[in-house]
Amino acid sequence: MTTYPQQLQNAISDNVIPPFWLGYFREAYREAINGQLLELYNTASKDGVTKKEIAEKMGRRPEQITRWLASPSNLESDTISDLALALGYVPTFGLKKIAPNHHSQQRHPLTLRINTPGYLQVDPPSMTSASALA
Amino acid sequence: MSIEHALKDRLDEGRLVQVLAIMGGPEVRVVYATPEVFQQLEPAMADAEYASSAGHLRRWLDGFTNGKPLVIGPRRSRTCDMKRLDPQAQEVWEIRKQDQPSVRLFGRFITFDAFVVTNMELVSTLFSMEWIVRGASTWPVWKREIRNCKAKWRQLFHPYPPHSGSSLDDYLSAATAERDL
Repeated sequence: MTTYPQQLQNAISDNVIPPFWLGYFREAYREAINGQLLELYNTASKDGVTKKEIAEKMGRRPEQITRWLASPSNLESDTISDLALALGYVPTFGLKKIAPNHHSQQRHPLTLRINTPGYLQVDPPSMTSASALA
Repeated sequence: MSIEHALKDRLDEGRLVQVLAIMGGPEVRVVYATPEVFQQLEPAMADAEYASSAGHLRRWLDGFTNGKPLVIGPRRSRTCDMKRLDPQAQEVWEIRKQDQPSVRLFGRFITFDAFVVTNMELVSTLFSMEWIVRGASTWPVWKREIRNCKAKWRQLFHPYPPHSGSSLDDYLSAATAERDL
């Protein structure tokens, strides 16, 4: 059984990158853009900027702003630039070498709890209860 | 016993699998899936015909795990990525991926920021025009998958109900309601 980093390394070394990995990293890219735009929008919104104002700046309808922000999608570069500009920013572009981040120690409390030895051991029947029943 | 005991038992039995983020990163939230769903989300096992869509879907779930900001829609939303289905008291949620082919994942929350995916289906199957032609007033396959979600939950967690809350903050961190956009 190969690990994910090995599978990924094999995939990008292939003559043709398997569709799974193409889809995976396209989604990661969309997610990065959507996350930043959503964060900018939420900040602007807290500062009193309305969706209608942003839409007007772009010559669009407010519902279109909702559609763009509600879900990571395949936005055109021009749309990203226009939306960022309407929020007072200009996008920049960056690339980094693929590198899994398996160093993070953060775990959800549920997975920590269920993986703690002894945490989920069933308590033995209570002697008090047994004697009370008798 | 508790629902956490049941979860641990199901994981030990292989009846649930934790969907670990392929690229690692912080585990802000957690996703569990049934083996039938999980095998569609694995790089080596995903159905070749749907491999690209499976890659999108897996990254979406990995992003969920890493704590990406989410937009949660009302029941009739057609743009959001996640919403609670009607009737809300049943606590059946849907993850929507619009890439072709579009897919819907069904599941329930086990606790805050912890989601169990029970089943998935292609949108083309859920909303086949065949049912319109046959005069159906609703979407039978869609209803079936919601029932399927509840049935699988019972098989996995009986007698424990899914997590429920009164506001979005009771379910998810870093979530925005679509109406606030």
